[in-house]
Amino acid sequence: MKSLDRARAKPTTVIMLTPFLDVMTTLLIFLIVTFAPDEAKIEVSSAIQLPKAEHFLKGVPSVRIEVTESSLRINGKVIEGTSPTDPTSTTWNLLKTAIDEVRQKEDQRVLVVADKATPFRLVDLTVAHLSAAGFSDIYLLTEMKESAIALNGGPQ
Amino acid sequence: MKKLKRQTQEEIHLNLTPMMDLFVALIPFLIISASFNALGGIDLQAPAASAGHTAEDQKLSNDLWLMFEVKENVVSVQGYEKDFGRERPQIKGEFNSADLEKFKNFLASLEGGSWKMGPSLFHASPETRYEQAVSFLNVIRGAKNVTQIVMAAGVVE
Repeated sequence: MKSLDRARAKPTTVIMLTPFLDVMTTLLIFLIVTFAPDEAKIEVSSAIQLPKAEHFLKGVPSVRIEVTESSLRINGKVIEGTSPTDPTSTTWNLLKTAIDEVRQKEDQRVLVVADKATPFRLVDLTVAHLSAAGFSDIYLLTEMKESAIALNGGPQ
Repeated sequence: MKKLKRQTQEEIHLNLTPMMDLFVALIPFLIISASFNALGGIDLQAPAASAGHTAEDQKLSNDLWLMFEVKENVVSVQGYEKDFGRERPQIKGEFNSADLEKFKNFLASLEGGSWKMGPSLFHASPETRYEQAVSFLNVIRGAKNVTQIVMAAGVVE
């Protein structure tokens, strides 16, 4: 009889998790977006297969040039009328105009993205024109070798 | 009596539904946004004008400037005096992409000497595949004493 009385007297405990989880969801999304590494924000066309290397990217430049045999892209947008195989000034003037539109002041770094099967002459020609446009630091985007990731643990 | 006890015991329910809702939304989001291939990069310098030097500077210095020339799957290395003045005949080598370990060892052997390393020049022939050039650049960038790689790009009209 005693035990029955004690059970009746105790209040039922219900933990309300819903508001807590709402806050956590918002917080988690905010943290992911804010603290995602810059490398994770680099978008590369699905058709491009990057060559592999063992070195981390030292920062992410504001200008990203994608070189394919048929076109040039700047920060993911195709520069209409360009063809890297064309050595005449038409293509390269268009590139220069596009660079001036997106380039941030004082940034002399540029990220060059090309498929691993691309002939080097296209990369070479692009770098020559980027150099003429005032870029002094050329970063070639690569994919990290698995062995390098395992060894170093992640970007430094 | 036992049955009655069980019925009157307090029941605590943990409401898992909102948590499950969260995870159902979170997992596809993370999968979609995850970067499966870690990205890396090789940094190079674009060519710039040289400051010049005197012949006396060259004679006295132990500067070593390296030039890497890639032709398809072979890289040839040549050492020079300051500002690519005169060749250093003892610093020379040719390596195949199939044996990058030899190339790595060659560059490592230069670390022990009393060389004062200057910038290294990298050039690849037009027919070289980008992947091939990057595989050599990867080894060069990994060498401790090679601090600066200048890409000898073509001339712009």
